[in-house]
Amino acid sequence: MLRYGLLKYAVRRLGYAAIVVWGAFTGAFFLLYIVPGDAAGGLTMGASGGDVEQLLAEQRELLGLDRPVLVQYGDALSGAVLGDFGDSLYQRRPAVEVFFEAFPATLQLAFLGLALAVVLGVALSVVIELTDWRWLRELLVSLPPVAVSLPPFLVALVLVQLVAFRLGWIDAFGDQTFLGLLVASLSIAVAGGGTISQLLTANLRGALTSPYIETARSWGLSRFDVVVRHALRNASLPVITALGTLIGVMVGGTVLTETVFSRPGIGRLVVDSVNGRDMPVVLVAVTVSALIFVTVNFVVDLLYPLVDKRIRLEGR
Amino acid sequence: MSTTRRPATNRRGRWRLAATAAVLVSLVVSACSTGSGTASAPVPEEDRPGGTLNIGLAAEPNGVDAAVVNQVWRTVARALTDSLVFFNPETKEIEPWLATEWTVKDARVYTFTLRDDVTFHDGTALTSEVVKQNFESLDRPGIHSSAKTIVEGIKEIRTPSEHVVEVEFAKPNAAFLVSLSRAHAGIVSAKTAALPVEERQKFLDGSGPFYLEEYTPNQRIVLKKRADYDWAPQYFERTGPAYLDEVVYKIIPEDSVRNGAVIGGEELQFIYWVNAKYVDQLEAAGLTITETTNPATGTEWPVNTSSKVLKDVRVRQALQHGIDREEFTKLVSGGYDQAATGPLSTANPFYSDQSEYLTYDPELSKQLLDEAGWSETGSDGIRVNAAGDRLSFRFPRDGAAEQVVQAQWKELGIELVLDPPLDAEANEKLLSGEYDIAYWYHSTPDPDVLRANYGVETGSNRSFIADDDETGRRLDDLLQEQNTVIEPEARQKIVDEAAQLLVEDAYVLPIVNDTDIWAFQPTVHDIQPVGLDQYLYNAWLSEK
Amino acid sequence: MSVTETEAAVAAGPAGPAAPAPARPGEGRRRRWLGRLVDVARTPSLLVSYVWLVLIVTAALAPTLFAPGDPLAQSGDAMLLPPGPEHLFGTDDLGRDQFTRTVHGTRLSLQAAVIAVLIGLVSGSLIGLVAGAVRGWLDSVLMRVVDVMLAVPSLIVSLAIISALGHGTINIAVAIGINSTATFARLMRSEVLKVAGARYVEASVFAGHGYAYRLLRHVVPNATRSVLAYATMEIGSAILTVASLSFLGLGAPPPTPEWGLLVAEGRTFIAAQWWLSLLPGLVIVVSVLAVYRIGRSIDRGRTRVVA
Repeated sequence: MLRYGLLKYAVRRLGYAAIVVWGAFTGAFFLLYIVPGDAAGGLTMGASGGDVEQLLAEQRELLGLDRPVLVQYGDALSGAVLGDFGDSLYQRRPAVEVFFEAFPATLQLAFLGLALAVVLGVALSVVIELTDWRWLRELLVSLPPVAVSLPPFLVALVLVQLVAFRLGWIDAFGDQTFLGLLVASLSIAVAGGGTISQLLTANLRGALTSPYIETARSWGLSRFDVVVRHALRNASLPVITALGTLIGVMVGGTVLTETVFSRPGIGRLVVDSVNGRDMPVVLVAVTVSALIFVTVNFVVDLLYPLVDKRIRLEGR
Repeated sequence: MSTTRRPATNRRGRWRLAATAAVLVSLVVSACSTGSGTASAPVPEEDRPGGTLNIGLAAEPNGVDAAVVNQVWRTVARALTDSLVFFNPETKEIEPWLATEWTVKDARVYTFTLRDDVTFHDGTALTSEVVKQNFESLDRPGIHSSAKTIVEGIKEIRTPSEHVVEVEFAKPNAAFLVSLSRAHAGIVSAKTAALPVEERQKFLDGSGPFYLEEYTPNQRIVLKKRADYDWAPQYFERTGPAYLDEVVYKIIPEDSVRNGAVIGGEELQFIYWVNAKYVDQLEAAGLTITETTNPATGTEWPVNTSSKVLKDVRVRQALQHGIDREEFTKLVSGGYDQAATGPLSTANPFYSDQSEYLTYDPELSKQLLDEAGWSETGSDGIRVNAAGDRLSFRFPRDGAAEQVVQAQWKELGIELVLDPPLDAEANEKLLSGEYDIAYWYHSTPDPDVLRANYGVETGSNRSFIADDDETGRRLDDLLQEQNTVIEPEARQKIVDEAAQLLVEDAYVLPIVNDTDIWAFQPTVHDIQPVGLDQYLYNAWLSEK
Repeated sequence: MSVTETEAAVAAGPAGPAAPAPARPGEGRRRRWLGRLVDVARTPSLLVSYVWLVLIVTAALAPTLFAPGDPLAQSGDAMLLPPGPEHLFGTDDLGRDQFTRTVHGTRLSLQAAVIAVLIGLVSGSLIGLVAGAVRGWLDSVLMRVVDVMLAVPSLIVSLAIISALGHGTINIAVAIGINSTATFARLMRSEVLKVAGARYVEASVFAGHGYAYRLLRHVVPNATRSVLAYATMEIGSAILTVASLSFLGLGAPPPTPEWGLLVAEGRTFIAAQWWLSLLPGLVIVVSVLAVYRIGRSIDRGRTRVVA
């Protein structure tokens, strides 16, 4: 009975997911279509002389942009269903190839940023809990809010100036070493770490006042053990749910980091593609991001009942 | 800060002097001058070869072929391809390159004799047939119009022998040779010429001293030395391959990162088009700074003379005299650029001084505006006319330079709205006349750039000269005529007259003769400017 | 963009979220306000935050109080000067006083942030309210639309909207507002569902009150608090997002000063004239910090992930 319910639930969710991905694809297509300018304009940028209308018309015909919009949409959608998004209008090779060439670098940056954020956030919260000196504690508690208030591109710029130019530890741009990646990801990890630390500090405090921690204490466990072994585990549940949100933010934040550190990645690709109206590349980016979105949501929804027994599937 | 600034200003003063002197010298001294402008250390030639030169690019050029995209003519494309002829920046004469000699008949029929020892990187040889295919390939959809205009109007291309090619225009085209010297018309192999336009953006086979090894968009462009290169123009005073083994163009959009990297010297050794405001910092870090004046036109703002308000020549003249060009150069480039004194750059072979029409005279401007009916001033300080229209203009850029003019005009009660278009809509907006005033920029050292920009019958008509504009018609006649005359003095006269009309009736607002500032490590030697193009053939590194 | 929240005061056990106290308008209001004032005065960080907020709001309304000069006045003799008594934040590359520009930029920056949040708040809350109150197929459809909005990367939406509307801070605000609609909608819906299930609302059902009455009388006021707290914090995030988009070159058309633009323009000089970018940056940081702090206090110490 339960298994049948789960299956039905999963099928329904899959249907929803398909609708969301299709909606994102369609929305992005028409949004990009109605905004002024097209790739023909971008490709002939800086053209001097000649009959411009004719020049643009030539380009449009070459690119197939002169076809009726519904035909273009139909082509794009039927292609996309089969995984063929067409060629990038600027790079003249499959948009999927262009996108996935850049995607691993961004994922790497985002995930390392997330990992770094978790490490920094958790470490800071634990240190706050373990610190006896009031002044140090006050100082440390004030750090996370500052971290989330920093403009991320400013953090990145200052990091480049310090680590690359003053200290000379990494190359100023496109540094492919792990240290280079680490410094770049630090610029997105600062805000994330601040968020995690804020959440965790609040939860830790709640957990430490709960009765079972009192019990643990009465067993004579050391303060470190109480905080790290027991309270932390309980306090981190809400943080884990927050990670889903954070990973999206991290991927979004990479565009600034990629610009400042001159790293390859989808951030700059997406900005250039939207500005240049490179429809195929934009559609790949939107579709991939929608797929990630529905997958993460699906997984979180499936995990939710496991984490919190009170939530039943029917209720959702 | 003020104490550290002073010596820097002096240094700048010296540079300016030096630059002026260089221009003067090059104007006076004739053909046989000594090649490079940079004084080279006494390093024997045999010690020069080798090494990798890293050059910073501010933006992804979207391709490597100057015939297809407009961003690479001065850098990558110039190193990859040779042209039929070479423009000597000192004598301002056209000299042999891939063509050993040529004859010109009536400025209409050009016959070139080609070198017989030139090969492309793919091993094929340069023949008249290849040149023919090259020119033909430039006249098709997708080719950038700067390249297309070079071959526009060709009636027939003949190949009487393997190494003689004859180009016949329907009408005279006096600018053809100078245009041919640019990278836009760099000669590529038959295979490259036959490629679809989109392929040429990613790959090209030329006969240049370097070949394309790698092109990764948004990352880098790698060029390698061709060991068998042996056909450099005489200007470079030597033969054989280039010195550098490798040239890497790195794309770094952030100014501060590019500056920091060239100061470090490891990751970059050369940057160009440097903002003059960084010069103090770069110089203090021990970098060498050089400057080159654009030999075509400089920064110029074409006025949309078809717009309701700017149809009135008085309003245009008010704008012309409302620009304080001296203050402008000081604010925008710390005095590096020179205030414009005509529509052509001082480095253009056909330059003439038109500064009497370009004076800063705010009182005259106000008077002209009053006369034109813009005599009332609204509560926001902007003038209005009897109909209640505000004296407001739109401009497609919003950099520091534009903000300076904006502030200067505001004093006169003129509003300048800075509203840059996005790339994808730039062309349509710029060329449809949606802006009242636009900007333009040209780099070919020939007066024909004026026709290319402002010509109506042929040309881009950037001032949107209307059919009923009589002065405009006369201007167009002059612009068309100058390209049919080969004899320099006669041509000069026509160009002068056109130049005067352009600024006197303010079809264009010349702002400055802009200066391309290069900053590089002292270990880098002999990158030679020809106009704004960078020739890397003689470049070498003293530390590799 | 999304929101995750946690209760600070409640142990993260299976106790579940505490039902919010019913809003009781009337006699207690004055005492609550007084108590709140005392609370604020007792918490230094909160006090400082409010003082800063008053300062920047004043600067937005009457910038000449702090900086009487002209933010657009250029000077060829005072380019790129370091901070000093004459120029608190130094001068930029056109010799404009950076402090004056920062003060005069406050209005546009705050305006943009507030407009962005208002758009998101109004449209999102309406969608969330309707979805949560009506339920059924309409809820399904609206939530799917919200999902789609969340699934498309906000950067793409922002870029496209800005290219449709043109550059400018207010257009950025519209883009950010549209992007945050989905989050507000989700938040409002969940608050409505939560409140609708609370015991005192059930009591209202027994009292025979109509559906619309219950919705307006109990659900909306109680749901609003969380949403407003989130909105306050969103103002802080919006300031940062405006700055980031300015950095990407989509900001206000010059010469109008705006915080994000000042940081973005000054960044090219960061190695030699760091103050150009970092001092306005500091103003942004302090402002966001203050707004977050106030937002947290409104939300009874609840901590949220704002993103």
